Amino acid sequence: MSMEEVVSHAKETAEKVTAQFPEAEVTASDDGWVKVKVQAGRWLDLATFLKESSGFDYMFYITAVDWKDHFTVVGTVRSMTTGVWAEFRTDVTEQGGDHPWPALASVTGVWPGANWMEREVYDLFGIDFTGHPDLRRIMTPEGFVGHPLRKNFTDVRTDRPRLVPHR
Amino acid sequence: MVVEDGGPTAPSGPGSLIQVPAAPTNADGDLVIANYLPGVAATSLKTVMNWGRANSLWYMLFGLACCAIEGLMAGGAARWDYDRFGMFFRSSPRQSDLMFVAGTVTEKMAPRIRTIYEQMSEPRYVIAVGACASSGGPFKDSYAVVPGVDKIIPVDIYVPGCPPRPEALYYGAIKLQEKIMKEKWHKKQQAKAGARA
Ligand code: SF4
Repeated sequence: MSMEEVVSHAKETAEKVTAQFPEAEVTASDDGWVKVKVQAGRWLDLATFLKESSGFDYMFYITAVDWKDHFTVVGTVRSMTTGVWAEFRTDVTEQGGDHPWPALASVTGVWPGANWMEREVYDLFGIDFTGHPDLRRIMTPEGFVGHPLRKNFTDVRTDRPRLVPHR
Repeated sequence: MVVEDGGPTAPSGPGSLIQVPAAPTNADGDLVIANYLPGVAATSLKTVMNWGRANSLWYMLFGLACCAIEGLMAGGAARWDYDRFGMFFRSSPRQSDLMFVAGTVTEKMAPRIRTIYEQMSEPRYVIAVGACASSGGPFKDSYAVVPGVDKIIPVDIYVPGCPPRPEALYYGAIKLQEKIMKEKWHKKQQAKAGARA
């Protein structure tokens, strides 16, 4: 598939997404990328739309950025038929009350490959993916306290329980 | 060579069957048994055992990060080749004498390293390859890194570098062989027997 075709597919996809999500910021770039920014409430709708209506069948990654006052969750998917990449992002903030973590709908039901990536974001940034089938820590050792990629993370190494006590 | 106090006066000369050398000592005055019995060498059991151990170090690969590529893969491949020192890699800790811990030791990996070390049969040796395994290296302050594998298992040789070249590792391996040659294992056995009694 030539680059021109990929770019025209990207523009087409951007128009479709704009029609479906008028409040979202959508751009299509000249290198075959579609970039979408939505409200957190429409995250799952957007994911389903990208998978079902635009053919984005390959989940590439999910990650997050800590801006101190809020987090941005970023997902990247690709269509294996048209070769278009799509990057979709949303802002989430910490909630007060009895559920202080930032929460976002899980896209595991749309792309099963997102399972471990959401676990990683949960482990390192402390973002709760509601509807995730198995939201456990994946990278830090058992018994770890805190979310190390948060800007306000402080290491409590000295009084943390260790799997193997140091000699 | 002249021997003052005589020495054995075995029949020697053109007519005798056994040719016994006239002088059983060397220039320093030490008795040389080989002069009596050609093909026989005398040494201590300790030296023979240590010699055998030092020259057949079968090593266990424990590659954790970049150092594994340099030290274990490049070092074990044909261009450098550990086999020259009688060292072969075994993928089972139960057949290994030596473990190379090559790379960054994380808190999560620490129990696995400890288990594998405990599965090795004695005598067992450990070489810490690179800055990370020796001290934590560039990740010393990280929340996830054990600052040096010696925090969880005993280490015999530390090879510095980030990563060390295979030559540096060979130097470390040769140092370990020297260390094994000096080992007084019979004393250890005696101490163990004493502890049991
Ligand atoms: S010492 Fe350097 S090369 Fe070796 S594992 Fe650490 S960072 Fe990688």
